[in-house]
Amino acid sequence: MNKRMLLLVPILLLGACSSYYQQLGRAPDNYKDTLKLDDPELNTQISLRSVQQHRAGELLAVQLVVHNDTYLSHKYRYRLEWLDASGLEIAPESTGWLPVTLEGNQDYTIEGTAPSAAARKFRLEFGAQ
Amino acid sequence: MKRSALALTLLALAVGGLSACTTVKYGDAQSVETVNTDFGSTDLHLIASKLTDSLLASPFTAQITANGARPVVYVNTVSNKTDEHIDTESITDTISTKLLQSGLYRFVDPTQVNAVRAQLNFQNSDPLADAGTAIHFGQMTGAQYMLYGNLAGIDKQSGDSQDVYYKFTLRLLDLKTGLIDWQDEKEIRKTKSRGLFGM
Repeated sequence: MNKRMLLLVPILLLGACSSYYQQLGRAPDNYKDTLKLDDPELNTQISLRSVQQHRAGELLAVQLVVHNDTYLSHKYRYRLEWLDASGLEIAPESTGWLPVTLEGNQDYTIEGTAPSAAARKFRLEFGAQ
Repeated sequence: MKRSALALTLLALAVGGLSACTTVKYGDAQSVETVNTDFGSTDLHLIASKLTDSLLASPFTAQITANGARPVVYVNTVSNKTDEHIDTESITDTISTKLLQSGLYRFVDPTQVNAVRAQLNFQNSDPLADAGTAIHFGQMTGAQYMLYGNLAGIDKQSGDSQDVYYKFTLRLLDLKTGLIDWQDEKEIRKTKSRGLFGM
């Protein structure tokens, strides 16, 4: 019995090491890879309802609506990631996490403008505060 | 029995002492900061990202940057009308960094005029300098627009709860016409309330 317990220790330790989690969240069909979640629990709480994008001069501008699918108020943090044509993130250190509190069943609109004309794609990253 | 109790006490003290040691670690400079209700790094990010996005996506920016034009902007001070000591230059620095990195705007910095003059004097009149590579006087570009604004705040306290409100207003003024061509503001509200057991 003790030997079995000893075998479990490294497995549990490995599990603890891989606790940082990221997965894609629920989003409209054309934007399946747009919402990134830092916590598996958020997939039952947050969903991306709609995405609008247009060119503001040379820059890509987006408007995203996220929805709190629960009846409770939650504190989140989010950031917009901007990717160039090669899929590399543009100015990752200049896009800080922003706080938001979503009430139960609330829609919340997030607007953003690309930091440079090189941006071709975007992703919204959501995490618990 | 007494010896084992003493040993346990000493062990607990040693563990407690070790855990009380000071530790230094690096954190994520971009993470959400909620240490207290004072103006903090997250407020700076909120203001800078909202106002930069607003200016870059405005029809006015699209109009004046059409055909590759890059307007020249001078950043004036942002007056701090709150009761708090806030480095407003840090906010305008972040905004001007984002605008410059967008490739749509260029900036001049009049605060460095004395240093520039000293360097040009050296290049143009010091026997050590190669006159062929000297930059001549009178070629600096003048700003077309001035970026300025103000930060206001209202702080209310009642018992153990506190409500802090900040409003940052930013304007872009055409130096030729004196017209304000763009203006936007960002509001932030932060509340603090003490828990049931004063935590």
